[in-house]
Amino acid sequence: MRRQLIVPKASRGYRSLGLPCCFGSWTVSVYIGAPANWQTGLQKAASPAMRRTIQLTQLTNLVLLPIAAIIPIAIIALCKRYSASKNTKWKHINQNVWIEMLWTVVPIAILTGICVPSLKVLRYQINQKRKAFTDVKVTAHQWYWNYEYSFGNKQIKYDSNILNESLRSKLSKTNLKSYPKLFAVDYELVVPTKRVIKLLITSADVIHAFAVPSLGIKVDAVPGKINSAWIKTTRAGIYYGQCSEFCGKGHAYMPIAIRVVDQHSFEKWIKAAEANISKAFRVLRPKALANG
Amino acid sequence: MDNSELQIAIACFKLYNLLIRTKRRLGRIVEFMDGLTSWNHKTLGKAYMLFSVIAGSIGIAMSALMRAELHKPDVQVFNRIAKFVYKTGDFVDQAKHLYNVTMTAHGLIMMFYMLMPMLINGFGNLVVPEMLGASSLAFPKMGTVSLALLVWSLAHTVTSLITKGTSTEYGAGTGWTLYPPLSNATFHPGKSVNHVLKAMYLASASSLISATNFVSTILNSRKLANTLSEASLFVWGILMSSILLVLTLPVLASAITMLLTDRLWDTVFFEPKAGGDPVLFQHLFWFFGHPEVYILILPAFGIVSEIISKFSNKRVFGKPGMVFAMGLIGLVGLMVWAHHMYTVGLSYEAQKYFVITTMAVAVPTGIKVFSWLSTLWRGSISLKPPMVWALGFVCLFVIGGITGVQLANASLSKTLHDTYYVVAHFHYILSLAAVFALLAAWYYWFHKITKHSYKSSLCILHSIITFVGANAAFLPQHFLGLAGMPRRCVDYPEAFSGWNKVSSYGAYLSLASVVLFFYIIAEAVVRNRQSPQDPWKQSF
Repeated sequence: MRRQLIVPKASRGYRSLGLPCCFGSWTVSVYIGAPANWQTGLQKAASPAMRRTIQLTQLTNLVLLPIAAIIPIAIIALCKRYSASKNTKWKHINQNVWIEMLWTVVPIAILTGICVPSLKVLRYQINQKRKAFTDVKVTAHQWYWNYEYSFGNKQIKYDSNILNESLRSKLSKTNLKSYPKLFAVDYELVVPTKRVIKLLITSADVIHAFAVPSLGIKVDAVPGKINSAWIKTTRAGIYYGQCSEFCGKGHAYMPIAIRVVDQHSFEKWIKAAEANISKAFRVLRPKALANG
Repeated sequence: MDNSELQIAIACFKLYNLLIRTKRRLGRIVEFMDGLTSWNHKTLGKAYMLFSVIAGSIGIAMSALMRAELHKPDVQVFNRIAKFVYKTGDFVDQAKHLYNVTMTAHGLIMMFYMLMPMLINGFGNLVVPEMLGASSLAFPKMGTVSLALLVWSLAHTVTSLITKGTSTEYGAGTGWTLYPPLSNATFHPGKSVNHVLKAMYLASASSLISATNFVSTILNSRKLANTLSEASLFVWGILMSSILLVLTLPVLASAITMLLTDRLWDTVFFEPKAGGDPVLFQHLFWFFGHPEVYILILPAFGIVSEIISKFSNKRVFGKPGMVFAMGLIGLVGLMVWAHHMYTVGLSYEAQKYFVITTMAVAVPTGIKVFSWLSTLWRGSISLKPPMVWALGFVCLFVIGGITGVQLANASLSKTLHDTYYVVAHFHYILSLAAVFALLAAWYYWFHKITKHSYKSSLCILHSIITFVGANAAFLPQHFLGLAGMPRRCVDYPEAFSGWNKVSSYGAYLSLASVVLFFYIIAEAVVRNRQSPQDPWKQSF
């Protein structure tokens, strides 16, 4: 397969970079959706749902942050102006119906201005009219994930555990930028890019939550309940998330990794995975093995 | 009279004597119990405050331990504690449970044993009767019973820390929210969670009794103020808070009863295999849990109104509007609980409803903030220590409120729910704003609590250190949440290490401010600086 060099775009504003990953003198062409140290904003969007979520956040920040800044400034200004040491006698005004109506109606207007786009984004996140390319059943356990695909009468099912540090070289995942500690897993959830994938999420024991920030998805895994969500990634890469509902001792140690590949690689992987999962992942990453 | 009749007569006389003595002994016991329970309302208030300070110190110590753990990635503090506690075994594994237990206990202690006793019972008992012109609360003995129940409740919480939670480890590692199935007998077979549930029963009973007490007092003894509308806003805050308690505590009690029966007697309220639903617990819990935070903040609103009005030498702007706003916050606050549950799988319509109602709460809150600013306007403002704390409250509460409006959006919940953004939000409201109001009241009524007066400059220093420390601790957590760091994690990936370090330094600075708090009290008492009857008269 031809190596494609993907250089991430420069970050806009406070959004984080997709990390370029290098090991040795090679630049590996895997886009990683993970947070960067010291970032102050949301992770960069890798799905249309997340793009809309980021836009909504920008809107609410624009409306709300000035309020948080103006109030302290107003307080300081008022304290300076009306300090007791100034000794001026002001005529006290203790009520005014008009201003009270004003500061009731204006916040209602502002909040409606936030609510309307917010509910639009919510509807977009929940509803998906397109038929999904495939469904993936995600089952949460204490403290790992299990992914299951069904194609016709064939079934692929495997566990996704946090990457044991001693298994890094065996699985060729020694690059800490591509496979960070506490994010990396042994076998990722594999999906094709630019297709709608439906996730059916449940739990086998306690409540967990399936979350991938860069795709803008967070769904609780509740035992006895199947929650469905849809994802659609815009570019290939590995997207990381962590369990987002407190589930006991290993809550911080059950990460989620979604490896998004092109359609062709996905089909090859599916064929190989029916036989043997670890072989299928080696089929997916021949370059990793080549680089040692 | 012959011998037998005489003997009968003597026996009757002895019996009569015995009865008289028993009656007298019973009378003395009744008098003793009477004296034990009829505390002066001021003494009772001070007792609650002492209780709150002790519990708060334990809670802060726990938070310091957690921040020390989160200072760097990897487990480095709790494994040492685990070694001290367990002596053998996999210390890192035990450390994870210990961290979860600490996190649970920190939440419970701060909510039920620090904020509620101080803000509602402490200051309520201390000043509400005077503000109403009454000599005591409506049911003075019940006040003592309420305190006793709360102390017993804390005893149960402490017991839960030293009983086995899981089959091998001590403590309940469930989070203060106690969600099943994690908190049921399958995943926490030990008795620890039972103790936590009993503690919550007792705390609920304590709060219910004192709430009934306050409502009765406020609605009935109004000698100073002829109508309720003339009463201080703090009295209104306590009234609304108490009404909310009466409405929502029974629902909490029902939720924890179902959890307890699930644990003890194999009922299946929350057992999915038998048709039960863990999400039911969440609905019931948060039906109490959300009004609970308004219960905490309404007295704080009242305190801040009192103080801002006093130190601006001006009546509160738009008092009817303020009372109306508090009532609306309480009422609408009863209808927004599922904004804690946006990701459990509610329908679009349900989520839409909760988004709209949650946003609606921001309107009366805004009315209050603007009214406080208008109280300052054209006033005669003296920046005495309580005023500094009260103004700090307004700034910090606005910041916390802003992040609350962001979180109200269900669509943003997909990125922000259960991350450090939520932790930052509620710590700004509680650990910053509510604590600032608490300390404002503490320094405003310090002369009623102790008969001494404190050094003003030390108090201002306290406010500055607390402000800097607490902001340094919690502002970076917004960034962590936006970046995606989940909450309740003992360890985190390297990518979150920067802001975590800053947050931990802020926490250590806040510890210094706690030390200063105690020093200020000690200095005032030791130097024996007597306070005048009304130290704030001079600000006019």
